[in-house]
Amino acid sequence: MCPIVKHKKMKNQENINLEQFIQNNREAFDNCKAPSGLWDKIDKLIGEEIIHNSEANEVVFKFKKSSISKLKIWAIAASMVLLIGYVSIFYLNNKSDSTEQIIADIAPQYGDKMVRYTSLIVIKREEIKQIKTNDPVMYKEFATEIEKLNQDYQNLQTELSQTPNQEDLVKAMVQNLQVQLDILNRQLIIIEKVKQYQKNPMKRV
Amino acid sequence: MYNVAVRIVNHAGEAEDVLQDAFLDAFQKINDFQQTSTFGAWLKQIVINRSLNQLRNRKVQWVDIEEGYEICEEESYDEDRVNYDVQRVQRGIQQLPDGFRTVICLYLLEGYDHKEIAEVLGIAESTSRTQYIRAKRRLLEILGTMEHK
Repeated sequence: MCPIVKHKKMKNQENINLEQFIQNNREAFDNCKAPSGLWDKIDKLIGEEIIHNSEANEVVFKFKKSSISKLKIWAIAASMVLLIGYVSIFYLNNKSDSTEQIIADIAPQYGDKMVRYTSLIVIKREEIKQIKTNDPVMYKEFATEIEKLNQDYQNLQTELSQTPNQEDLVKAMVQNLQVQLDILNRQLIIIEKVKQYQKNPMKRV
Repeated sequence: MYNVAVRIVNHAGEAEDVLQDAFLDAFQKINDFQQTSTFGAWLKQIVINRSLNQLRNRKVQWVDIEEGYEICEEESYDEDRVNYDVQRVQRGIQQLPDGFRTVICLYLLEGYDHKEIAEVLGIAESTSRTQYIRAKRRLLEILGTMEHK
């Protein structure tokens, strides 16, 4: 079932046992090539899955549409956006001022780090955003992952002014930023791998 | 990935199905992917699980042996004298019964230890060990007969 690949017999193999032999030649055991159409098939299957998913989402949307009139939906949406916008701008401005103050007071050594991390995060998220058009599903997965951490970060930030252990909390915030950066880096690696795979689908995964 | 599946299910067509299912699985479960392992390792695990399921559908049983079972029948095949060559070892592995083959593949080629094998096959760790020893002996026998032909 696999293509026959000739391997030179190893010298000195008399004194070698099965485990060692396989360890030494591990690569050679992966000599089966997947049938040529297989990766295309899988690609198509996953494509269909994406379409299927987005159709499912559309159905939900249509259902909602029919229950309330279009105009009303837009009005509600617009006012919600405005409201959320105002509240968050007000809230964030207030908050970030006070957090920066607290950090500067209790742990100035973390301040620089946090600024650096935050700006790196912004840059990397921008970079990941570039796949949004080509691969909206993956982008969404990636973005929600980071968004979760970001939410945690916001929670920490709100707690900061009330907690007695402010230094510990700042440490946790720095850690959260580090994790975000780490994940973003991994996401970028995955994106790169996917790109390579799309360029050369025959290569082993 | 394809090699992993082929080795365990021992059938090119079934391995294709397994791989398709595994990738679809992985795609749907991408949310469960923890950053504790690499993406490749995670994917491989899904492929292995799918392959094992395929075997289970073929009603392969990994026989459980009661605890405390000692292997005293170790009239070991003289493994040092067998001539190894990749192709021959591969053919030998293909000739093993499904149960033996899985244990050999997971242990020798996929780098699982007995604890992990026991977990993934749902058997006791001691069973995995004895199965492995028996499988290896059988494999060496097969390799030995090949040599004499």
